[in-house]
Amino acid sequence: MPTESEWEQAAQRMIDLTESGNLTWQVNAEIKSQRENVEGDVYMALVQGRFIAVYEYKSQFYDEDIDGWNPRNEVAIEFIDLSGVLQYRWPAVPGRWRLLDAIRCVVSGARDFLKQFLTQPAGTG
Amino acid sequence: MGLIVTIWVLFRVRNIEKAFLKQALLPSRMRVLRGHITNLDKAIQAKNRQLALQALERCRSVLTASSGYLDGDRRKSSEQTAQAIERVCRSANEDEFWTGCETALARLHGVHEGLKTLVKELEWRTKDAN
Repeated sequence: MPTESEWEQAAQRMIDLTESGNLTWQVNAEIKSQRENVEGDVYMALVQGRFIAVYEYKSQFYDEDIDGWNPRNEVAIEFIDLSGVLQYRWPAVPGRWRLLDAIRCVVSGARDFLKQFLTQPAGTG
Repeated sequence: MGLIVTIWVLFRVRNIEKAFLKQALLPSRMRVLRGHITNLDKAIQAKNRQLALQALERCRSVLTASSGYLDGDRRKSSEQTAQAIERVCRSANEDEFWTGCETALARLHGVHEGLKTLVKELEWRTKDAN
């Protein structure tokens, strides 16, 4: 079985490819409708012939201090088939949040906005 | 004679105290354990090792604290589960860790069911006594 550190390396590689523009992610509303408590969009990309979905979701976790339930956000990285069915869930590697952030930064246009905005001469908007 | 009476009184007081604590503490311990078991289940699904370790450690702590109020098979099962959890937490191998988590989860469900039955038994006894 692959180790968690190998999955972490894979996540890091996807971050690099996303930031360099060599990996394209698309928002997929259909997969979002198949998952529960998704926060934001579900992003999908084709990597080495495999469909990968990345998304944030909310889950209730028990907190002994308050003896109650608290919402906690998580990030899922999944291998899926064409119809969005889960094939394999990646381990929750530390890089999962950075990957989601990198995807959102590119897909939302935030990166391009910043690039253009900072190169504009002062006084223009 | 005086010594025997003192020992008998102390023994009775200790038993009454234990029964009282059992009745007062076990329902809340059961609820807390239920919460940590759910967290462990979610951590396994999310393959989140850090969360799983945290949930396991908290389950173990509840079991250790509750064992004193349990008897017979329930006590044995609780102690054995706590020991099994300790072994899982020490496991360096990832596959072994997750398999151990699944086994611990199944055992924890069993311990929880046992606690639930015991709490119900205590409730009935109280009702009967009243």
